[in-house]
Amino acid sequence: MNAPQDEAPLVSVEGLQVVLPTGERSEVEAVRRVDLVIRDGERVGVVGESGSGKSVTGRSIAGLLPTSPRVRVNGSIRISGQEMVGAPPAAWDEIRRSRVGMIFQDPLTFLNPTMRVGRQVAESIPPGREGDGSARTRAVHRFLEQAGLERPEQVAARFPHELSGGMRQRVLIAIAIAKLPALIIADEPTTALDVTVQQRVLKTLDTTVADLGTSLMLISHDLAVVANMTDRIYVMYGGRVVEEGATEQVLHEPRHAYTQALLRSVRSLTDDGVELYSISPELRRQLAEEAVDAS
Amino acid sequence: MLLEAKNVSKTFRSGRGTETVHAVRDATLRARPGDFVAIVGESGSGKSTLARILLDLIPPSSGGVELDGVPISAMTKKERVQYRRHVQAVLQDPAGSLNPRKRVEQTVGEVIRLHRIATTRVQVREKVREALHLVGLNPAEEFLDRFPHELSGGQRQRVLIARAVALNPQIIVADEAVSALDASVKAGVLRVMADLKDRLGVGYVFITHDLPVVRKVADYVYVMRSGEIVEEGAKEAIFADPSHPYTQTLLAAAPVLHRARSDRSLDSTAREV
Repeated sequence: MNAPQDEAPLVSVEGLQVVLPTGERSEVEAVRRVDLVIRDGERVGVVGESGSGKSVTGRSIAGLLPTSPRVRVNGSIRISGQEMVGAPPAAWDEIRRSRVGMIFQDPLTFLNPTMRVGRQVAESIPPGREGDGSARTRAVHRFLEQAGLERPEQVAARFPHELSGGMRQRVLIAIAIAKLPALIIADEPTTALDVTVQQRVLKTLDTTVADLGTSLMLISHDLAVVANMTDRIYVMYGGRVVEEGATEQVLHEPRHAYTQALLRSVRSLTDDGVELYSISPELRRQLAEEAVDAS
Repeated sequence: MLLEAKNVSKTFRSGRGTETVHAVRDATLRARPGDFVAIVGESGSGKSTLARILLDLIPPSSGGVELDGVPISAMTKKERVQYRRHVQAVLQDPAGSLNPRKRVEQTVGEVIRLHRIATTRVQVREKVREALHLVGLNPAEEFLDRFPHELSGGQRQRVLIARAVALNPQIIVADEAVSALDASVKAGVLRVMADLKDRLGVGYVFITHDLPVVRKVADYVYVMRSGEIVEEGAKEAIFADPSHPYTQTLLAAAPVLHRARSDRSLDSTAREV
């Protein structure tokens, strides 16, 4: 890569539009003109409710949208300056091999059930980087350990179904960091886990990302989780980014009506003496109109 | 009316010759109409098994469930039908609990017909409308003809609550009924539940791993771990002064968004523990 590209942000998304088929003749504009930037070493959160387009945005950046001719992607996704919209699959493979690791909500759908964990981590190490044979095996153990798994030799010999949910999620973290990627995209990494396990997995993600200096894109519907882990937040609704800002600022001085309502409902679930609040149909109508105006 | 689980145990055998798993051990629990009782615990704690026993979906290995002192096991067939009407279920995953090929009217209407709450088509439709209205699906006409896939997650959960409420139950056993919902939708469904409690005197056995929600809505809390109830008490007492170490761990782990500006926006424990 040449010099000017090195100065480009790690990820720069401009005017991203993603249209996905929902039925034989129907489709949905899942992402509508999204602009998003992730700089080197930065931790960025994307929050929104189901259907807000947050996961589709994350998958777009990892080049993991469904491969159907009916999936349409417009706009620009540049990774370290390299334009990826319309790039051939081989270019995406290269990005995923060495630049971007992804962690999903459900590790079982991602992990190969017939392959021992150690081999799955090993496959994610670029050939030759850690040497061969025992050096490579040691590297696998190191990554498992870094992902918070004790006795990595034993874990490496297990199959995914022999591990608990929290351990499987850590294996995904190990697979992601084994690439030494510039960016880890974590999509609801702890939503399916118990609270005590959730906390430990987040802590692991937190420290590994910090140790490696990796950028993080954390996607979640859980504002509390995102708030604790990120420097900056994008709030999405109906496929659009409705608000972006420093995490602290978005939490304490939300500008957009949706962010305000979201915060109000999140707090109404925990704060004493506050009536339970859900976003009103009027506000949802307003947001829908706003979306029409914006397009 | 009093619903009681008395010294209920349930053991499972995961395979021939393998060790038995004690899913529930000697659990005793009480619930009344108008009470919001919560069972909290992590996955594998046995809380869902206890819920299934309360709902008479599976029999306990020992101990029993009683309604006003009458054990389910001693009930006549007719009394059992009555029991299932009084104690209704709202389960997790509304998509899985709703028949994808049935419209809302049919889904709610069939239980009304089954329990002979109404018989003629006009009466049944009226009852369905009432139930949808109660759970905030207004106007009901807009939802009657919809299939599950034409509803949002929150709406599907409301349909399940409507189906339960249509039978005028005294107690609803809700197993992770709001866990999968977005914050705003969750708040909406909880408000509906609280409203039914206030207006109709419905009681709840609310099973969840979501402690902040329990703190918000419950009156009385049971904490389960590895099949055992390790702590119980009035909500205020449990949250202000948890005595069991496991309860303390659970409380510390729950991520909560704080109001105060000085906090680093979240429970500091989440970072430091």
